Amino acid sequence: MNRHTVSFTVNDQPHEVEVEPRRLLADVLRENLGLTGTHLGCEHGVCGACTVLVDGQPQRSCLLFAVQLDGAEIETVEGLAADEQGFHPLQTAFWEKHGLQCGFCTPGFLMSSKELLERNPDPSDDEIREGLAGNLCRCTGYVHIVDAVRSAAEAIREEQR
Amino acid sequence: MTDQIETLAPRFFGQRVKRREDPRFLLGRAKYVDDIVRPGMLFASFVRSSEAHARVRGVDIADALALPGVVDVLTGEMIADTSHPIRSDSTMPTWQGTGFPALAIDKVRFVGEAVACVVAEDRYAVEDATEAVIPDLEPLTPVANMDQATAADAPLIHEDWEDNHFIKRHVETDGFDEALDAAPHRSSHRFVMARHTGMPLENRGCIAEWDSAKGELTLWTATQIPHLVRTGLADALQIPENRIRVIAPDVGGGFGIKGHLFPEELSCSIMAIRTGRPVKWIEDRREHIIACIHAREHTHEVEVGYDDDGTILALKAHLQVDCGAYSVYPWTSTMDTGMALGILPGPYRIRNYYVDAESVATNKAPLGPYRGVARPAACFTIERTMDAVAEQLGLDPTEIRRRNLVRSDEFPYTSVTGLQYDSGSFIEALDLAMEKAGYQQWRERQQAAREEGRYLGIGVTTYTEQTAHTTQEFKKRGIPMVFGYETSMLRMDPSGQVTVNTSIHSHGQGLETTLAQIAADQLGVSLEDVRISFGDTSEVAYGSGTFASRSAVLAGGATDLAAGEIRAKLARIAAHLLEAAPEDIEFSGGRAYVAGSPDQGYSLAEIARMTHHNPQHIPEDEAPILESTRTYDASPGNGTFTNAALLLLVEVDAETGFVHLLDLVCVEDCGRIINPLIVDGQIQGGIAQGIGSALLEELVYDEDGQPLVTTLVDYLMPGTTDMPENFEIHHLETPSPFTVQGIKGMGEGGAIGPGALVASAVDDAIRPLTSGRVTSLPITPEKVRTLIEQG
Amino acid sequence: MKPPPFEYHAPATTDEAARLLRELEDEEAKCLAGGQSLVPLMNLRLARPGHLVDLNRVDGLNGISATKDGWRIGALTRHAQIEDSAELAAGLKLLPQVASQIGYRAIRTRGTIGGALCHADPVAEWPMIARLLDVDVEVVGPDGSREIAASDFFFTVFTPAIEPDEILTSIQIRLPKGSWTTGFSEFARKSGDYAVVAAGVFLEVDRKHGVSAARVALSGVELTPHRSEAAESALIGTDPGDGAAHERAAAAAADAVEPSGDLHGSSDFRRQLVRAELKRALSDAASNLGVRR
Repeated sequence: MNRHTVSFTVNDQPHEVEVEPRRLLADVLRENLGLTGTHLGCEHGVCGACTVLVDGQPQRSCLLFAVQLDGAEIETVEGLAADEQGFHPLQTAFWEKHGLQCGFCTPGFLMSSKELLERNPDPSDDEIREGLAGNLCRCTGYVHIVDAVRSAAEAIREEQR
Repeated sequence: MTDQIETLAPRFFGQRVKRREDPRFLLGRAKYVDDIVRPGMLFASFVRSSEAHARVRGVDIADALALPGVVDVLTGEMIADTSHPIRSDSTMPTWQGTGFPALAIDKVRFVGEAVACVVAEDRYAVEDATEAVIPDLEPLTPVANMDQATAADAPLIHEDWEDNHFIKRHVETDGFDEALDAAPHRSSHRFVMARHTGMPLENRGCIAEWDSAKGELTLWTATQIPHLVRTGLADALQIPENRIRVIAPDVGGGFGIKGHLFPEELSCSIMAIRTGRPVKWIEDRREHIIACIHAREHTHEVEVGYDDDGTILALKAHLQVDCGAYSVYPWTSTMDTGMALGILPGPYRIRNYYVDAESVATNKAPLGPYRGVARPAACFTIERTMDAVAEQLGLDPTEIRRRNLVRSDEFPYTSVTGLQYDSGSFIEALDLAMEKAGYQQWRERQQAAREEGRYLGIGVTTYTEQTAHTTQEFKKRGIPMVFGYETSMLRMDPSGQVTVNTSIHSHGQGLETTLAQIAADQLGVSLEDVRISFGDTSEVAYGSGTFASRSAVLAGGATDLAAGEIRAKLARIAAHLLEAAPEDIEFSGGRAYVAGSPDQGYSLAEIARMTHHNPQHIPEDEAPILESTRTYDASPGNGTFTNAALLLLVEVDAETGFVHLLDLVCVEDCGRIINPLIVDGQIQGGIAQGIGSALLEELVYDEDGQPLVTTLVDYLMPGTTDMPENFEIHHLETPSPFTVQGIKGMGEGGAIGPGALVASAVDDAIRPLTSGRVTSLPITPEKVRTLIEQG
Repeated sequence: MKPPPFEYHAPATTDEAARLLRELEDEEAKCLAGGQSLVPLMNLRLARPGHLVDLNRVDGLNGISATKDGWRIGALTRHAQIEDSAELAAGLKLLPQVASQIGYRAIRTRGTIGGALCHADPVAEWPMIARLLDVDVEVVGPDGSREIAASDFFFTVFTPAIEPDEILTSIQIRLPKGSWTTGFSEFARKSGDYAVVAAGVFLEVDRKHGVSAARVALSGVELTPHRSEAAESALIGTDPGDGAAHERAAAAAADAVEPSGDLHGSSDFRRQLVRAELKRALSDAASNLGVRR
């Protein structure tokens, strides 16, 4: 079976993996690299649980073949913080506002929200909702998630002031 | 109530404490089943039926076995003699039961039923091999819906049955016909709720591992009910239950769907035994949609008799539930009909009641519990009926409800079906919702909008939710297991730290926080001193698990009782050491001391260490351990009743039929609240699921029993933009007179009302355009357009 | 839900890509652009190409540039680049407006306009817009390049009129010299979901005589994007802000289509949506007239 060697960084750490072409990025992150914070909920691009940042852009890791990503910079939930003392403002806000329940969708929401706030540091509630429309959560009803993202945006703006 | 509570000054109970379990989820370090790797692990995948109803003539596995990486292939025929099918039988009259085999043996009875199981070294390889297994299926006439199933010449889904009914039930109050005949007004209605399901973000999955040296099976599985899965596995596989360990790790949402023993769990266990290697199965979303548990497919016909004031005098109902092909473990296929039959009169004073209820078998995926179990359908029917009566009498929809709701001075109120509503605030909740919403201002907004050609509508819904029902209730339901109690085992170790092992499972409900709040309050320690542990049957005492809005009440109660016992023992030891009376010992700040003299005391760590390591200092008649196991069944066991009132303002786009949710006000009364932050989250999440039921979600089958919805592209779940623009929650706190701390359950509640609520609001919005009314869910834009077009 | 095996190729030039496609023609080779439609189909095993020729490393396929009479959009330009493009927002805001409606942000950052055209989904936005703007599609094959008019490009559902060894490289948008405006509206059950029906309009407007030329395109009504001649002719000579004219054009468009029904909408419902969404698109076009593109 043909295999390819691919190099990329994940959370600033360089990695080299040998993969079958069909191997999805999500499986490489989860199984080859043991980064199980990225979750698979549908494997057809709808639920958003597997969202990671590829070269700064939010993308579905279930819809990318690892073989395509030679040279890419990938960021996953594990890259946000090493422990709760080092929480990213989004993690703090999701905690404070009760923005998670079962936690399965949470990494995808954090990664989508991170890029959303980088692009739009002061989003309206409608912009937050629209920006996160591609992430499904079955537990929270989203009210506290929107609260958390709004609160994190304030905290980040405050930090940067 | 226990006497300890009287003396307790709660510090955490009632506080918006942020969740203690959150950091591991936020850091991406939670461990769901798919995150667990066992040495030498194989991957399983299932070959599933493409036919709704067919005879299995054979399964060709030779090509699959020859593929690289394939280790084993299993068919139903190969295990027919060694493993028992999953059986869950009712003890009630008319019941006809099923055996749900791990893999189909002679027949397949729904599209998606597992026919063969393949295991291979790699997930990708196993899917390749699954495609190479060729089932030889001889199609039989499918029974795709309840009309087909109940037709006189319907083919039998289970050949040993007399007809396609799991069960037929009938309840009728004395003098019903006379009461209905005497009603000055009568009207008839038919309401339909579409098949849909809970759809947790994490699919099902398990890892089975066989220790051949010890003859022990371990199953990690995404379940809400680890102990019940263990019992079911033991029965099906004929392995002694003390040789089976079930571990439910972090679970990515359940909603009732993961509260079952599944055929796939049997197959993986058998494969682990056959291969001697751990076997992992992770369901994919398409499998989940077609082959997991479906829910909510009800058709209700009602006739209601009422007087000039709108007082409901009599209610007659015919309830049909499409239960799919098999009875589900451990609930049986009686759950939805039984619950609907019992709760249909809802929060209203209805004294004359006649009901026929049928659980119908079809060639579709099995129907099981999903958050709310039948209550969303019952609520839809009774609330739609209330709206219809209000309209016929020209009454405001809030007024018809106020006239029929059980009043506060009537509690405890025994409903016509024998449910004891322990306490509540049915009318007060409605009044508060109207006040908070500004009901009159909403009506004015509606009027102003109509003048501009915009269609705003106001919906109202009230309901009561039976929660935390135990022995008395489950006994009545005629199911084999009576889910009577939960268990907490609380232990203080020599360092003074507390571990609570509990039989429930938390998969989003925040029980690692709320149970710690209860234990910490009893013992006067900090939340950090309490660890909550659950999910591993080898660690925790037997109990049923998390479902039926019961965990806070039952595990909370058991934890409170066990902590109370430890507290009492600590007080006796401290009193002995301090030469004081035990009743004079107080606890706070991690210390036990003589009341009024905080300096005169010991830290709990000191007492704990002394108890374990220097037992010579403790009273002679005290055992040197700090441990208590208590069960709690919230007697009298009929459940404690939560209630809510909801108001919703919508705008309907008359040209497209699209329904915009503007403002939603929910007033919920779930008794004393342990943690308002978590309660609000549960309500919001439940309402979101209810909005899915109301507007979006439907598992469509064609006339041949083929599922037309197989991906999330076609199964629409609510997202951020589908929620109401403004969402308010208010609380009333009417304690239960029965439960520890006056707690009531509330986990399911949010999901009950939205179907009725949105329907009520949509009808109100389009009233100027049509005489048609919403009678089925989901309310698709096309259905709204059809109503408008009929004028 | 894992894709079947395939061989992977990552050419650096279009020539190399075209050569590969020709060599592998008998082995079910397929181009991989953004993959946001193809990969889900592969994960579901509804598509099983033997070879994927990844275009993401081919030079010169990505980018938005102004031309003397309009715009050139490279085939590998991501929806999100179009959505975020300040030049397009100023010059042809229809494109960012449409791009923002496609799927979700995490789909738009990867999915490409060229891929969407080649996928030729009858409910997708870009094929309809291509027909609306009468774009020319540039393709390169082993024997050189050619341009295909949008009206010839969509053969049938999921089937573009492009040879198996050809690669879509760019689209050319040519705009008229005079005054014009655009409008767009779509109906989806929820944000990010596929549209059931979408409508786009392009109106050339003469101060004196109102609408001098009209183009109306619809998705979700036929197997390929639909141009509504009935609506177009109804609009000629009308005031672009005339609501009654919008109503007439929308009714004409709805009467002229025979959509087939499916899970997402019956024929009648789709016809009603044509009427509603076209009216909204026309109203959008009228409001855009004031702001000049």
